[in-house]
Amino acid sequence: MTRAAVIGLLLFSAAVLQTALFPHLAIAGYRPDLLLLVTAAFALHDGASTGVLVGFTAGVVTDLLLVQPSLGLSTVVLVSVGYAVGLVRPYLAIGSVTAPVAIAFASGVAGTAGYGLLSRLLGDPRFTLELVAQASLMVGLYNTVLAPPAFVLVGGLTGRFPPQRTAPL
Amino acid sequence: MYDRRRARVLLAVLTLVSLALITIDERAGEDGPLSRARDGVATIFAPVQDGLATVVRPVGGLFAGIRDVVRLRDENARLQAELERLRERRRSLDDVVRENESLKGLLEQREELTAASEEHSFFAAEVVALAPSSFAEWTVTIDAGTRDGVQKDMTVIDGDGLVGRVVQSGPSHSRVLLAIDQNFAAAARIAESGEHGVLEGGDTEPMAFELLNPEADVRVGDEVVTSTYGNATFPDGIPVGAVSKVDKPTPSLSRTVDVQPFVDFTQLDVVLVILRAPPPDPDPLPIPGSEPSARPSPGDAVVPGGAPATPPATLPPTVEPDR
Repeated sequence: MTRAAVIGLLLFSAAVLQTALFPHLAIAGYRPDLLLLVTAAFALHDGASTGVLVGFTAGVVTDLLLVQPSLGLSTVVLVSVGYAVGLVRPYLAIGSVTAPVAIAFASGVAGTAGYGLLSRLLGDPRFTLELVAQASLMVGLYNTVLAPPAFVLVGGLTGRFPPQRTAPL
Repeated sequence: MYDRRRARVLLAVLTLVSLALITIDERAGEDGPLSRARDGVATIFAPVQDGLATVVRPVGGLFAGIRDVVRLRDENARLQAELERLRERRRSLDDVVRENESLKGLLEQREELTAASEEHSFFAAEVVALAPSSFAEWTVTIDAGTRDGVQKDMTVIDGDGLVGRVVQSGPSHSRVLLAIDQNFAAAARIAESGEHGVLEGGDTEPMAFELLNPEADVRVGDEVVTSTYGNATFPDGIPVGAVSKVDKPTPSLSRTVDVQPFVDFTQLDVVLVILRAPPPDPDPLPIPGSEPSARPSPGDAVVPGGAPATPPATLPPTVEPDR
């Protein structure tokens, strides 16, 4: 219960920073995607199950803070990112510097591209391939810069509030 | 192994839940339960965003200053362009003169317009947050809501001109759809000539202004202002931008020119909400032998005859202008 509350508080804080601080730090109109980064960090530290659950919560928060797109679009993307990062987790050295950085970049690119392409698939003409590619690259790079502090924060949090294991891995 | 199987189950279940949410949200429209959830989340987040915005505004200013240093080489050219733009805006005086002349013989209508303009009152609000995505939509959250008299579809301006339209209104905060958003449309006219048309956002600058008269005499620098032609949502005469590109007239039914907005949408700070509800839709003229058609929503741009500028059937299912 405490762990869930702490994760909820972290996602709330991330959403506030995403909407109130990061717009001021935009480069060429693009900003980092902190909720995507937090989802990837939890998935890398705790595995796919946590990644999927955190991704779902973060996705719902993101969708509720938008006005126009359908509620559920970001949720699908972040759930998929959480699962994918959790899948590759056993093949990465979690304690290294390169793994979080690589995951931050790859998840930033994949998550942003997934959102853009899904929107395009649902008939939104704004998401041209050029725009999606540009946004994906920028968000991937920006998330990479923010990866060290974000992964350290999430790592410390999961160390203090570890997930419950109901069965051996 | 157990964790991997549990993750697969969670992935399948939560993806299905997400797809169900998309379906429900699409079908429920703006008055559905999910829309109310959006209002609730905005109410929870807005006070915190408001507080943080006050704290980080100097940080944002510092960051903007660093970017300005990088752009220093272009500063001179930008200021020259700004000066030229301000000179062009003086042409709005021509609009007032032309309007006065056209209204001399229409005393009753002039009195009505004067009375309407005196009814306008404003509420100043600060922009406290932007949409969480870099490229999903152009909306901002302002710290004024229904308790301040702000309602959906009210017009939002700043010192430079039209900012957008309120699309969601909570007790203390509201969301504003910016004029450059893809889903934004407004009836507008060329200030100097009075040529009417429909102004549309495109997620980037410039905006597109589709003239009703394809042979209209339009020049680069002409000022574009909002119009109430055809019962539009916005008050008449609000500056929107200046024509930045004009193609040669072609033998078609319409003609589109580029309009560079006066407002800098990336630097919004304090805005004014015009506390004037948009006029109700007029009753459609009865057409013998036909059933009454659906009215356009208040947010739809209108063209003569009251029909929406963009046929609803062409709107993508995921983009609804008034949500």
